[in-house]
Amino acid sequence: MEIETRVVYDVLVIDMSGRLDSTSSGDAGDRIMTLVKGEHKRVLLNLGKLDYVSSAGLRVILRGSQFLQGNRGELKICNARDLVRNVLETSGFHSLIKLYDTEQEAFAAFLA
Amino acid sequence: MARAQMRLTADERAVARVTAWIEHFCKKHRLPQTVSNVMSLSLDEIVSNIVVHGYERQPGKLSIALHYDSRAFSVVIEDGGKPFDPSQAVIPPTGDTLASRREGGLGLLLVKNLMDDITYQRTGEINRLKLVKRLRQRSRQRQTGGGNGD
Repeated sequence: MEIETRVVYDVLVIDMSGRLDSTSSGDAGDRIMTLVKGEHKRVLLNLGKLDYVSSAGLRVILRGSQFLQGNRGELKICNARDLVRNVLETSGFHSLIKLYDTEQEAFAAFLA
Repeated sequence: MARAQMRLTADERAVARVTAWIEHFCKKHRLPQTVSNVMSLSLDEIVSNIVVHGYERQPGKLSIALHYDSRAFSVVIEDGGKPFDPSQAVIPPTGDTLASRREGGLGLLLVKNLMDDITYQRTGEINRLKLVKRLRQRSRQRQTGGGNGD
């Protein structure tokens, strides 16, 4: 599991790649919480290179998203593929966290 | 048709071992990636539950048997942990708001939605859980333009 960050239009983009499962979710969760507690209130998770997510990974995303919402921020998700998108939809996350097909659509929504 | 069985210790490394094993099995038998993904994810969730809740992180026995033919892929998981019937477990409502959404039950919610059939038996000291994923039949898929909607 790798996590990289960039800032685009004042949005913190977090690129996640690999597997977000019970093995990697401890470290990944710590990293995500550190990032969402930072200066940026608008955070975009780009899951384009994420191959796999389990419920342990969903909890990481849920915690980050809830923290931001409680601090007048917002977390959005883009580029989720295949299994990851299926898992987000199956678990009902798509009704809690906005999903976008592309980064551009997510940026447009943040700036609207 | 193919079968495989694995016996291992339910500990913190079990999930990684089991998911690598089932993904290798699916690759070897040229099963679709979507099938490999949902079987691996379901085993990830069930084995995690057994390690954390069934055995409360103490090493215990775990046995997993795979069976696949042209109609279905089934997995039978046996453990000697605390009795627990995932098919009857309460799952969180998906209509909650973000702030009220709880973390518990997410794994079982996924398994229930990804699998076609889940059956549980407690025999003596053994939990026996069977998960079944029906496979799309290609001729039928062409006629209906879709499968069973996963």
